[in-house]
Amino acid sequence: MTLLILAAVIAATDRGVLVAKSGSVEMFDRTAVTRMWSGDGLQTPARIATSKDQAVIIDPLASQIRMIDLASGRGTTLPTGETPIDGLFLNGRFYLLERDARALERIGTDGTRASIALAADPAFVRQAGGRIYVYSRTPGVIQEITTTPFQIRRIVNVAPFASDLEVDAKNAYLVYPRGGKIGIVSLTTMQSGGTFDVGAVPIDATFASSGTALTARTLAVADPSAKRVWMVQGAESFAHAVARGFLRGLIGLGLYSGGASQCPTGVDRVIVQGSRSYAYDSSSGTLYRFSKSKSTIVSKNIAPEGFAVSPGAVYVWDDAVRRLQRFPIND
Amino acid sequence: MRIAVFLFAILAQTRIASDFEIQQMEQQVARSKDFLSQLSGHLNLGDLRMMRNETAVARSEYAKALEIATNERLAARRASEMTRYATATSYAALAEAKLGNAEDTFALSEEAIRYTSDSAKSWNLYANAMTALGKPAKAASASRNAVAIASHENDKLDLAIYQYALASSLLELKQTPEAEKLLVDVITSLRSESFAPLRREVARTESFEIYSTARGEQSAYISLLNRSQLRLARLYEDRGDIARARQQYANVLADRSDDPTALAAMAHLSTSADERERYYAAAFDANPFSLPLIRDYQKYLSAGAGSSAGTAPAGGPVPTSGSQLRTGLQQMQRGELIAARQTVDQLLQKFPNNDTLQLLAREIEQRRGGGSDLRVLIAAFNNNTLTAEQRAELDRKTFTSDVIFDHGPPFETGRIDDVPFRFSEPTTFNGNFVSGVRLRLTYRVLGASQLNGADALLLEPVRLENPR
Repeated sequence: MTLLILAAVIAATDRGVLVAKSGSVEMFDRTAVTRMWSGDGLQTPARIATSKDQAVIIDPLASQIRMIDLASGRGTTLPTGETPIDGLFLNGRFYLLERDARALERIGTDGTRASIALAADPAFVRQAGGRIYVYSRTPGVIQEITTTPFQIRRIVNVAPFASDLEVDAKNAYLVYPRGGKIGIVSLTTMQSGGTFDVGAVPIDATFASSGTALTARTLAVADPSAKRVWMVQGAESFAHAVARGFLRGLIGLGLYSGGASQCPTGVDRVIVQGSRSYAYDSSSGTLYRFSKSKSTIVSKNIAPEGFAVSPGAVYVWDDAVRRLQRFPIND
Repeated sequence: MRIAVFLFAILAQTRIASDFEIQQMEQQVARSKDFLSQLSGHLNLGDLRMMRNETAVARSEYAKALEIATNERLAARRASEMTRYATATSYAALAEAKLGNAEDTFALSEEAIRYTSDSAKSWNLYANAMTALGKPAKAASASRNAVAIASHENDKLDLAIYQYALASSLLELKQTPEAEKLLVDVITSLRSESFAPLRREVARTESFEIYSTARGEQSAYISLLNRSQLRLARLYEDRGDIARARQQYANVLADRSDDPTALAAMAHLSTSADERERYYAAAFDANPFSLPLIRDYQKYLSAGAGSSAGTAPAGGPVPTSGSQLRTGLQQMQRGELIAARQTVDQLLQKFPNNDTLQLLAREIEQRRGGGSDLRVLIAAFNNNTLTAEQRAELDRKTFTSDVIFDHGPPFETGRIDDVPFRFSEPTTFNGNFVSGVRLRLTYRVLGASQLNGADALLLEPVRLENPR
């Protein structure tokens, strides 16, 4: 058996915990005990995108989505372009990335749809500053898309074959497992800002902290080869760096923390929720909580989308007993 | 070591491996213990068995391939060898796809591509897995990525492999013009001077084996040329361009004279009865268990054609499995269902796990047991399912039916509707009756019998009349 099988896909929403299984969807309250509603789902759900009031369950294998009203559970199933893999809400509309159709589709709450063509192999969709960014993996292209009008605004050629994309207000960060690097792209100029080395095989990244006067923005990078999560600092302006370096010099710190957290097995996904950090090993289905000094197991034998981290708890779908489990946070 | 995986989903309906290839793969699995030898061996054995409609054995081989790939990926992960992990994960996905596990296939394919999206080979494996799941749009997209990456590399054979895979998916999506161009490009490239040294090596070593998971350049070259020509031939055939289709099939047969797909195609594209008979005989010898071939042949027989097959002259060679099967089909066509069942049973002794033979046996039994109350009665006698009370009641009862006698008078055999019957001895009735016309017979049923190899009723005549 493979632990990558998605017995259930979970998302923590403002209204409770959404559990999508083959053919059904259920909403639980935050205690994970009371089922608030249930309804029809999709055959092979793989991902959930949420807003405050809505959720979209994505089935890339069947090329379908189900849009659900979180309050009532009422939903509509829609066919999509080939292989929808991810989506996001922005200004009340849903944007769906259809990888094998090479398209980004906009779906309004009234069901109106519009689509724009993308470069080959669009693999990641993110948003920042009211704009959408799509990275097309095989050609190595980031396309910046405005929502009004719905069109491609700018394009930048970058290195191909990244395994993850993260964006903040200023920069996009691309993770390159083969080269062991993080690539930076300035969203202001839409130009490459260079690369820096991270570990052996970095595969996934997320923002771990926002920058302060003493620290640049920190990225947590999962490296299954090194069995570590690397904490690295992101891009900063030259002036900011000089000023911060100067300050840190005054108080006796090195420029970068260079921190890393060791896990017993090779972790390939990293999640940060507030001050808490989690790493996940797809090969063993193990979810760890980690800090700079140690890591502890939260749960084992879970699928990559079979858990959700919320401010108050970690929710895990236990397929053996077919119920939602809640692991409260003990800081 | 080059290892190339070919799409075979469509061809699986007709392409059947020879015993030689199965033997080679069994030897490979027994001798070589490295990951790729074991994996490709079991994948090929699964495909070869599947093409012979031996589903249970095929699934067992795929399950072994999956186990090998799973162990490899976990070992690679423990050793922090991520490329090795990704490769093993791709093969695990392919094995899952062949087992029909769609969700697992997709998850594993996605996992592999996270690490190796720069690898044309990984995208090709992704495409193969999607094809096995019957997802041609996903397969085409993955193949496009493979082609895009390989077009920047300097390996023409790999590029041709990925172009062929893309063409195969496009054909399933009915995007024929692009597919045709790709196939023509692939065949032209393979027959170009660039591959002359490889062709010479193939000729020198007299290599001919065709595998879906080919190891080494020679094997990949032979398999790719075979598959590409077959695809292009089928494309021409579907378009009605018979001359070009025949030319491509002939090219395939020039390289391998016992290719079952090409032989079967040449049979139904034949322009004369003699040629058709010859190709059917060769196609059945190459692959007796192809259902499309069998259905095609049955259609041919139902049109009143087809010579007898499989009768071995005294002292002559033992009939091949192909000719035995053709004999069985001819017996079925003539309604000689007992003889047909015996023929199929003989083959089942040689190939006990063959789904095609089991299907034919079921079809024969359905025909023997179905159709009318009289056939149900024959089946009950044959299967000895009548109780003593039912037999006693049958002994007491008389029935009256419209009959047509085959010969006579005296009368001995005939038909009630399409059910043959016979008397225990030739009988002459009082009156003026002839064979070949409808008469009214009152009779008792004594049991089941046989007539010219077909099930028949054994009747005791009571009275014969002209119909009212």
